[in-house]
Amino acid sequence: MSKGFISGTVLLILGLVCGLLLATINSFTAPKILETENKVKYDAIAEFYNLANYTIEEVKVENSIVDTLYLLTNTTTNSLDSIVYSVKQYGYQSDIKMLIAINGDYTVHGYKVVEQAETPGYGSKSVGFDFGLEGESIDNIDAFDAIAGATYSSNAVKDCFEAVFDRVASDFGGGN
Amino acid sequence: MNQKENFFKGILKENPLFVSVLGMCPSLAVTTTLENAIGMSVAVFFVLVLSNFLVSLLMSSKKLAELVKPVRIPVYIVIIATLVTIVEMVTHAFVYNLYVSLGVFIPLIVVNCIILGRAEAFASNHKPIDAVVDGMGMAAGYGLALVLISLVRESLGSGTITIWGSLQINLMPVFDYLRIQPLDMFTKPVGAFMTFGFLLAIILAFGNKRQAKLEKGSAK
Repeated sequence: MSKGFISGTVLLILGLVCGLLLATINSFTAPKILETENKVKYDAIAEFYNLANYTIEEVKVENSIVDTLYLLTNTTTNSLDSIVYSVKQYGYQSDIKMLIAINGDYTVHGYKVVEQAETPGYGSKSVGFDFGLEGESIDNIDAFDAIAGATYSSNAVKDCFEAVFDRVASDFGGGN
Repeated sequence: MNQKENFFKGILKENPLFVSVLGMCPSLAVTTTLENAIGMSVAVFFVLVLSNFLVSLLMSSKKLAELVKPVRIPVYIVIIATLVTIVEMVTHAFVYNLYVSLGVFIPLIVVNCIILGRAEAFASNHKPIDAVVDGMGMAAGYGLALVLISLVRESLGSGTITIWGSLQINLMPVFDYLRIQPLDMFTKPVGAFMTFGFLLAIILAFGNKRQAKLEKGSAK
């Protein structure tokens, strides 16, 4: 057997061992990661609304950058008051995950970037950045303010808003 | 070289950041707060010590070393990438805030020159115990350099020193007393380069002075 083949086999075996080790560790960390991400999301939703007044229904969405809808039904009036969208779009070097809260009158109640790994000092500014859309109607995407020096990250955030604005009316049960 | 010298060479004589000037990109990017610097140092310590140990163990068997030699760089990368992925998964699961603030620089540890450099230059031709001590020394030297840079940048740039989470020293009363504002520039890349340059100059000045003294002494 040639030496090259044996060396390649050694590399393959090492890769398999490492893959197995990572799969084992992933089985411990994956549930914890999911739990942490959900906690971050619910904490962020709690910043928008007093969750004691609402029941939350989670709806998964496929084939869209919008991955989950959180439907907030008022416990007193039993009406759908707000929808919080979980949206994900690729920025400069990572996925930017954000929550966008829309009121029943089709205005933006609030938004928050909950996860990103963009360039520190540039795209990372998207966390807590004022994109100028709070309180604005969903027709007014022109009010969007980009982050200076972070075009890719800003465009990703703008895509998130546009994807949400396009579907708000139908999600609330009205027509486009 | 005894183990003490082996360990301390990584901190002073062969400091990866201030002497070899390796692994600059993540070092300058993450040192905006002391907390980030400590987190990065711990991650690099874990990866460097274990990768040195595993590479040394693999290469200590003559027969295995012969087989691995033609594909040694991919082998090192597989080992290092596995260790970095473990660090990434664990920080994502248990230290979420640190995971968010270190961002892309955790996975980038894979291509950090210090780790691959020590694997090739030291661990592959030394005993596992020597490789572990070397890894500990190098990681400690790297960590100390990060801490030093972050202390300067955070204190001058933000007026705080964030040790961990909410454990923070507020330096704003000092700035208020001096009637100045923190210089935001130090939290930016330009501040990182300036801080690194000044610290390097100071360290070199002390080193040169010490060298001159030693030479003067030996000439006498």
